[in-house]
Amino acid sequence: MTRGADVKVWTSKGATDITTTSRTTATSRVLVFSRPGGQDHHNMFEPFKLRLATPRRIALQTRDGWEIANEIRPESTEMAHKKFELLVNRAGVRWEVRKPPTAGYNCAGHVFACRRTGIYGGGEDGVPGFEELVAEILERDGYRRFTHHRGDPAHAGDVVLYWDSDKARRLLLHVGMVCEVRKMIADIATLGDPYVLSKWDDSSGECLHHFRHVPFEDGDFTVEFWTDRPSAGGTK
Amino acid sequence: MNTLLHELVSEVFELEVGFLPPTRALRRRLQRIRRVKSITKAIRLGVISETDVRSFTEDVALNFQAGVVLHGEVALAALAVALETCPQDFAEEYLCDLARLKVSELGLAIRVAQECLTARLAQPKNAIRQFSFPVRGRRSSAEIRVVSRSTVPTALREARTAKYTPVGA
Repeated sequence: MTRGADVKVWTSKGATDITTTSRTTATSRVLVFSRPGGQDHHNMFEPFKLRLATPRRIALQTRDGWEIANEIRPESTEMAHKKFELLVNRAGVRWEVRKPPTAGYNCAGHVFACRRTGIYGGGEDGVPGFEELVAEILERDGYRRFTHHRGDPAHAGDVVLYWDSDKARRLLLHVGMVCEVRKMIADIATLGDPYVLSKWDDSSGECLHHFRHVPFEDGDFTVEFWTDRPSAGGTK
Repeated sequence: MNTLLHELVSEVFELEVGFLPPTRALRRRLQRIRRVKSITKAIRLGVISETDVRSFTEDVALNFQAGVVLHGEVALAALAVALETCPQDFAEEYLCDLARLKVSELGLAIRVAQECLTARLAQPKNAIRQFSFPVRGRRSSAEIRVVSRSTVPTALREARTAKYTPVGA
């Protein structure tokens, strides 16, 4: 069998044939599984295993040296452009598109890895899920949660987390970065509205938007602000 | 390819799913999509068979191009979500086989499969099937109602996954 060749399905007749049908080639191992019914078959995703493409990653750590699991996803298909266009048309009428669809990093990669890689969580033994991973990064990098109000308003560089409104599920929907705080009426002492720079997924573009103008159903999400600035009355 | 499964690789479905949030949120979103629900139902009723699922994965694999996200990656993720609650052996095999892969081109589907597998392992493992025969209020005797219930002790989960340990590995 040559590298990259398609695998043909074959089955062994009985349990005694299992060892003889399991074989090792130069590039991959074809596995035969035994099932209770006595019917044997090969791995359902064997053609993918033959490609031997391993995920690309870079060295990425938190401030205290903790390794952050990451992966640079390959180039996206043309569909990514269509999806992004549809997303902007549907939900982003008031968005400012900063960058067209780009592969290689996702929302967390944009915020925590300077657009160099994607941060997904899970996927390997011992790697926490996305929600836990982001929480760990925020804690290790010295972020604190705050409420956007007059005494402690949001500033450019702060991080915004969008959670599913059902707290029991604890689903983190998106991470973005505050880029500016705009006042509706200038020169009046009102609290401005944060505008967030977002990359919606690992194949979309980047958009600047009001922190509430997001493609999640209204009322279906809650917003959290996080910052590494010291609090107004404390050192952290 | 089965028509229902074929719809998963269509452009319409990809656009319906929209942008792809993080893994758990994506699994949740896929669970809400009508097409995915109907596939779960079809598998339970036997409209989609093991052969259909196998030929579907083989067909999707033909789109593989190194260095480009797999066309049909979302479809594989959606099928993983659809199979998550199905009691059939091939459903678990699909999830296990997909979750074990380390291929960047379909990383999203792999992560979703891992989430589904985690959720599946937290679910009851064996099912009590209740057969109403003949079905009440009908003269037809062809319908069978299947109800799954929680019964499995935690310790049996490992024994179940052991079935798919590669022989001679």
